[in-house]
Amino acid sequence: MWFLALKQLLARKRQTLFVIGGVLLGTAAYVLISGIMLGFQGYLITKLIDNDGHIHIAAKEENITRYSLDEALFGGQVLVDWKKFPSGRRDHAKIEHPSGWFELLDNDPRVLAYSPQINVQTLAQRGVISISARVVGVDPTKQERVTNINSYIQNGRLSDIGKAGNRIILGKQLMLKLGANVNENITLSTGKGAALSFRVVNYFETGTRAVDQGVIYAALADAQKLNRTPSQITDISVKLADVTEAKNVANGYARFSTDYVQSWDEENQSVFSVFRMQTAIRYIMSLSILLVAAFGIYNILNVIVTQKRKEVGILRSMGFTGQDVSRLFLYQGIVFGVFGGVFGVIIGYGACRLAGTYQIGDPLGTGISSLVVSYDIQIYLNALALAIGASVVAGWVPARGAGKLNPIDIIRSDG
Amino acid sequence: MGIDARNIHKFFGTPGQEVLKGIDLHIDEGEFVSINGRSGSGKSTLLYILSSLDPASAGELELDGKNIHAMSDEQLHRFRNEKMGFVFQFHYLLPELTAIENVLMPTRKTKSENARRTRAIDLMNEFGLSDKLKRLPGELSGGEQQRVAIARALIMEPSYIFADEPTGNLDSINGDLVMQIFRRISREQKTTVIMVTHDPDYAALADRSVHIADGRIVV
Ligand SMILES: Nc1ncnc2c1ncn2[C@@H]1O[C@H](COP(=O)(O)OP(=O)(O)OP(=O)(O)O)[C@@H](O)[C@H]1O
Ligand SMILES: [Mg+2]
Repeated sequence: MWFLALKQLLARKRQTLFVIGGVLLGTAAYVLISGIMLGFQGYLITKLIDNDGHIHIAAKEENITRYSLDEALFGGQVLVDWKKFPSGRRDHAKIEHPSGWFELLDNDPRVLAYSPQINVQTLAQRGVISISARVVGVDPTKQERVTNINSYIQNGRLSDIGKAGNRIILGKQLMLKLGANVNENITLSTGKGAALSFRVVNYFETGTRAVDQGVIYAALADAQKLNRTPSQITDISVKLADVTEAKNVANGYARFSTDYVQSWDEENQSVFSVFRMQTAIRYIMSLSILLVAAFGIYNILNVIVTQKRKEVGILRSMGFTGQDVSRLFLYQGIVFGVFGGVFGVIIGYGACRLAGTYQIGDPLGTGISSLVVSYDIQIYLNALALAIGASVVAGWVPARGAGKLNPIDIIRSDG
Repeated sequence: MGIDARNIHKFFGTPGQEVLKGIDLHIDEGEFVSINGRSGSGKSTLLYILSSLDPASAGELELDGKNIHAMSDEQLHRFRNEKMGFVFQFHYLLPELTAIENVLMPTRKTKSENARRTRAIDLMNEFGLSDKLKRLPGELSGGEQQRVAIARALIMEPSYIFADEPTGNLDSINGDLVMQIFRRISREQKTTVIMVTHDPDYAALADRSVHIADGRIVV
């Protein structure tokens, strides 16, 4: 039946091309829309992952309750009844058993690297200007292994701050606002003692405003000294060998720790709900395009079947079965789907390449200034499957109808 | 052997209009039979029942000694493909295919188109169409189209040819040509030909004429 199906399609070249064009447009649009959306999502996810470890362990900010002091004052035994309960908030949050965490992380094969940090709120001052900022005290070599901070620093790297020595690298916007320059000093104070002077060795620009305006990297020891909390840490940033494991690992840790443990995807849930919305829009758009194409195929095949009634009668009289006749029309639907799908994928790929050259500036300061487009093979397989699936389904109904036509009715009505 | 029809009845619609009222007909292998009668007398209806294309409302039909009710759908289609050829008044060619492709169409059912190609060309030559093999039906005259249709009916070397007014749409020259062909295949290939016709001259060319009136065979 392929022979006759192709002959019939070739006899109506314009109609055939028109229907194939419809499927082609739908498929190409699916590929392009998916490529751009998934490309953007992938790009954003990489940013999120690379900027801040895969798992974030942080101290819980704790309010003091009537039992909070029992351990410290009475060795855990309840010996007194408070007239007025102790209340208020802990002076600062800290991770209670860092060495326990270090041991755990050192021995977990899923962990690639981790970086203990202390986060300290400070006032940065230069001359008469003072701006509040967060000092992140890190071991720079460890921090470098957990995040890609170095790609945001020009002519230098994070480890330029050393293990100690009051050197800092700060966000570019913050530096500009302070009116500071590289190799100049600024003072940092926490309100708990004397302000300390730090030398600016470099600056970074991530493209994320909040970070560029408010973050200062310092050596862990320097930051602890500034905060007057030697050897305390508030956060641990963990990088895993396999990102997709993040949620599992984080859940496992959370089970036996009172600290706050979250995976990168839990911390960025709002982003994922935007992604889900985008995916829904993508599917609705692609499905409506394909629905139009499928409806086109359905209509055209219905018309063809009606036009070909006489031929159906003669084919049946030659001994072809109803199934043979169904196949004659189903094959035509498949041709629409396969050609429309294959050319649609090719044209969609071309459109993606073109979109990939579109300049959007460099919002995240990563050196990538054009639209990021995903070329995931899954998009292309989906597009093909959708195009062919839609045509088969759309061709099925008219084809079945043609197979059920009674040959004698046809022959009698014309003879 | 041949065709054996016993007490065939055919009703149409509800309330049933009885078009065939008990037909008993035996056609021998190699016989050339013409069916004639008034318009609306049931000639076409009988022809299509004899060919198994249309089921009878009541009665028995044996083809080649086999009751058609005992044959599976698959067997019936195969029988139709290999043992029967149809020629209609309006020569139903497939308009997208050339003359030779039309002739070879039935062979595609059994994928024997290459084996039968020489026979197709021979038939076309025999019917005076040797220079028109690659023509589309739309580029052929009515008489030429009908000869292509007959060649198609003969391509599988069938035992039975069913023809419903094959000359009805042709002028006398082309009609004569068609009748010559039927006469020849009946005589030379011992093909059974059952032909409905209005024309008394053509009916007379058959070995036997069956006349139908009021749903019955009258002698
Ligand atoms: N599908 C049908 N439904 C109802 N009545 C039908 C149907 N087919 C045929 N008839 C009726 O059966 C009768 C016989 O029809 P048939 O086609 O066999 O006649 P015919 O002898 O071949 O006539 P003609 O010479 O005009 O071709 C007619 O009265 C016709 O109206
Ligand atoms: Mg008739």
